[in-house]
Amino acid sequence: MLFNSINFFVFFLIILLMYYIIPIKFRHIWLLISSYYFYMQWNVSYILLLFSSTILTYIAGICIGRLEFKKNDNYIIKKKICVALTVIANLGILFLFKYYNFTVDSVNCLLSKMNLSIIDTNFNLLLPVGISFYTFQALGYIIDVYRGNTEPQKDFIKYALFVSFFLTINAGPIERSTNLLKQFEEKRTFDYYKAYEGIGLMIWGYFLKLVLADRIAIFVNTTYEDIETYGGTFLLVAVFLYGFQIYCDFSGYSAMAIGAAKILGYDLMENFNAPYLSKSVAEFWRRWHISLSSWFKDYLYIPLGGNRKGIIGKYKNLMIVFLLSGLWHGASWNFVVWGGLNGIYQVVGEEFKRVKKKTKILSKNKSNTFSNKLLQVMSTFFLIDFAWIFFRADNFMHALDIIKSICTTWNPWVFIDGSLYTAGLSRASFNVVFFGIILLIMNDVLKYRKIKLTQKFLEQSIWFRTCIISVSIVLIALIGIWGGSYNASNFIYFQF
Amino acid sequence: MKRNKKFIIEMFFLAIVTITLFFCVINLTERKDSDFKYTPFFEEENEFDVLFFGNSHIMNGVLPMELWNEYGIVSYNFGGHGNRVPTSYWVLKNVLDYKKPKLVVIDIYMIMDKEKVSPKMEYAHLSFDCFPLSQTKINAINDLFEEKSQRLEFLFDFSLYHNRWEELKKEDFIKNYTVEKGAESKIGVSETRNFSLIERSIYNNDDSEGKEYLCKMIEECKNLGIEVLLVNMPYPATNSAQKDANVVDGIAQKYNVDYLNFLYETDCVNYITDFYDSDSHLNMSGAKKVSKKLGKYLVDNYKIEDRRNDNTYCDWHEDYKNYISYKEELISNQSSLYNLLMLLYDEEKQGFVYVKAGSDILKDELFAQLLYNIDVGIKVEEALQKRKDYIAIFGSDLRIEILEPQLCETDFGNINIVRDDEKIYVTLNDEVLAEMELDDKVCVSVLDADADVISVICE
Repeated sequence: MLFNSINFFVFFLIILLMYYIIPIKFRHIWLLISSYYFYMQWNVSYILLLFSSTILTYIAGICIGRLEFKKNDNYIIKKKICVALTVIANLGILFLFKYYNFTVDSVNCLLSKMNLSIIDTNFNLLLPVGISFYTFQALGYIIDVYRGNTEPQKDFIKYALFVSFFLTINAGPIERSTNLLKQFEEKRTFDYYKAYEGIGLMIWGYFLKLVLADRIAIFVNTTYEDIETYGGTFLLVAVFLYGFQIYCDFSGYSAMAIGAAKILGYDLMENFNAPYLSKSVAEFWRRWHISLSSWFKDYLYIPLGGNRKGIIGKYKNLMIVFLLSGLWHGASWNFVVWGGLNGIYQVVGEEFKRVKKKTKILSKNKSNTFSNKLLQVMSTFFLIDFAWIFFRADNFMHALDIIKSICTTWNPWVFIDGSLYTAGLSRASFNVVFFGIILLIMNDVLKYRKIKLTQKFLEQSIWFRTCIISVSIVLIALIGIWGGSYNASNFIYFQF
Repeated sequence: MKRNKKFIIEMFFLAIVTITLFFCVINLTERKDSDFKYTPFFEEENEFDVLFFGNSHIMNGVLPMELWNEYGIVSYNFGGHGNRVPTSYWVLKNVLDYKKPKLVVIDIYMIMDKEKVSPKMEYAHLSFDCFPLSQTKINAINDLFEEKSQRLEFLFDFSLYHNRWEELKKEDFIKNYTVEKGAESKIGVSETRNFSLIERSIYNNDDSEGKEYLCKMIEECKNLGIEVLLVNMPYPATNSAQKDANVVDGIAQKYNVDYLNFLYETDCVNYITDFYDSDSHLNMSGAKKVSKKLGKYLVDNYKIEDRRNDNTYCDWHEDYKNYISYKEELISNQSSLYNLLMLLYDEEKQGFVYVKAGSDILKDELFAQLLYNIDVGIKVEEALQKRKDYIAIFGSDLRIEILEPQLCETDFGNINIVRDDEKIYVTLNDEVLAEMELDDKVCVSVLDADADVISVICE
């Protein structure tokens, strides 16, 4: 059940109505039933996998809590063993479903190059939706319990809800027990301001997803799938637009999830904070997919030593984190290359900063000018967008072909002679994309400057608010990409 | 609590405004083809005597307004592009929710087809979009389409039509409706392929869903006391198609209904002048002939009343006037000589045809047949042999053919042909009706009742 489907709209309305009708103490049970029902719409059999992961980490949490409470002999080692086993078990399941075939294929490739016999295996299991997300969410909880950041959750219903919460299970945000699980403990009542904020966020999310992301996807898919016909400038435009496609797709989904949660009275963590206004790659990764990058920082980078092991250690840890982050996004070498590129960007960026500091190149005053900030923002966007080529391409060689075509095919006249509009998007659609991106940038600038419009909006008269919301909803339904003819409309991150 | 109540009231108000806006936008973006074709049916307050169902053969081939003019029959044409018999069944079912005619005429073409519905979705939309959402419509869509996304397209067509925001036209804002009562005249003339009739007793005995649904249609009508006539429209059918059509004899016999197979009514249409394409669809000339013949059959064999003097149907006279205007517009906007001649069949128009001596068009069989179609052309052969000009003048009761330009007295004036060094002039009462360049070989002009020129084509 996709967020941009009529089924989900009806489903959410029912959940919402029932949520505020039933007594508060039963609400989390209702949400748990709804979450499992939601997950079952993808694949009924994989509910067992979700349940297994839930019960495993729940029991592990209880055990660690007991060990900590009793403080018996070697309790620290026992705690470590408990955590290790849980992590291995969960990552093992993830590896089996997501990385086994990739590993075997890669090994076979190596073996065939050495003229050795290959591993013969038939392991065709459908990737359970959201497994990367809920696995990380559950592991985050266990590690937090181990570190003492959170108490082990004794209420199984609430814990199961935390792992399976329908708004986050498919594509995040990857929540922390210190945030979401804590809120399930609290008595949540209806909040007028939050509800309006939630509605606004959901509308914004649908705009990003249906109007922008899915529209840009048509052009990107057309050009990427036929680089011979749509080479050069077509691909350049596609690469540029893909940066916005993936941003709108993912942040749109997050906005819908966060907005829906707000209507229910819950505050999910922010997942995107104007990432394309970043002035460095490092800053970008503090603003992009915040829940994942902070997860990797807290549960991998810091345990590896972070920046406490000297410069080389820091760079090594950065590369490990980003290579694994790449792999998390997809079981394919082009994702690893993408992750690696981002790692290299950061290493080079850090090194450049270090050298700059030592040699005092460029005075502080010049770096604060608009032109300099603009240059930094554009450079960062260029680097990130270049890396997205590897992310979007079918495989590594496809990415190289795209780069080659951009560099060697000279056809800038496509901007003028109208052929740009022959790659799946009409002129009118391109105009929508153009104005939509401007609106997106305006919104991000406000966000970057921490300007919130909700309060001001709520101060306006009801007729004004109603008009704005109604017209927004109807416009999105009108010009959004959805409906029977657009089956390709699907969230990018659902493959993870 | 106060804020909660305020929120509920605001959401209620928001829902009303949003739903209202949605209705406006849904109306605006919906494709208007189905409304164009069928709204006059829904707007008719009285009952219809005859309804026609089937595919494009009957849609192009039976003209309710001609039936009205000739016999006073009140009818509507629900033929649709590519409609298989199961589709026609569901169109019938939906229609019967609104009207109960005396007689239903069903075209059985494609009875042995394996599909329930045309693979071209737009054809199915044409047939079903006009019907409001109802249980019958839901049953129809669920039966005809397997995929959920396809079903959604019909049951909530905004899911498809919202994409039309980029292509909204004047017709989306200012609605207009057909004057042909559901029929769709084809304007064109095409040579048809050769075919020969097989024995009527040879038929295809395979099972098909088409046969099953045809039986269902007949049973549905009989249960409601509606009479049924099965037809097979005339077209250059292959042997295989003829065998498929002949199986309907057995079904007709089984249910004691008539079956009028126009393939065997060999004097009905002219396979040179009366078809729009080489293998399938009648043009307007052919449709008029079929309508005339079919109308007589209906009047002779079923108790179909002549409603021309029935005050309840007085609006139909106005509708017919609109239909006449439509046909005149077709004639006046025509730029093809052959189409113009084809359109003149059975029209009370006046005008002339002038062909210069030695012109190759005189050798053209189609041209000769089109002239025969409007009851002239007898002297074409003579003009060809004697290398003379050919002139035909026609009016409502007038047919004159001459081989020399000369002054001709007619009911609507004196026609003459005069030449100078630059042009050839056709005059009516000394006023120029048409000018031909010296290179032009043929000229056809059509006049209205006031002898004003409606159309002139010179080539």
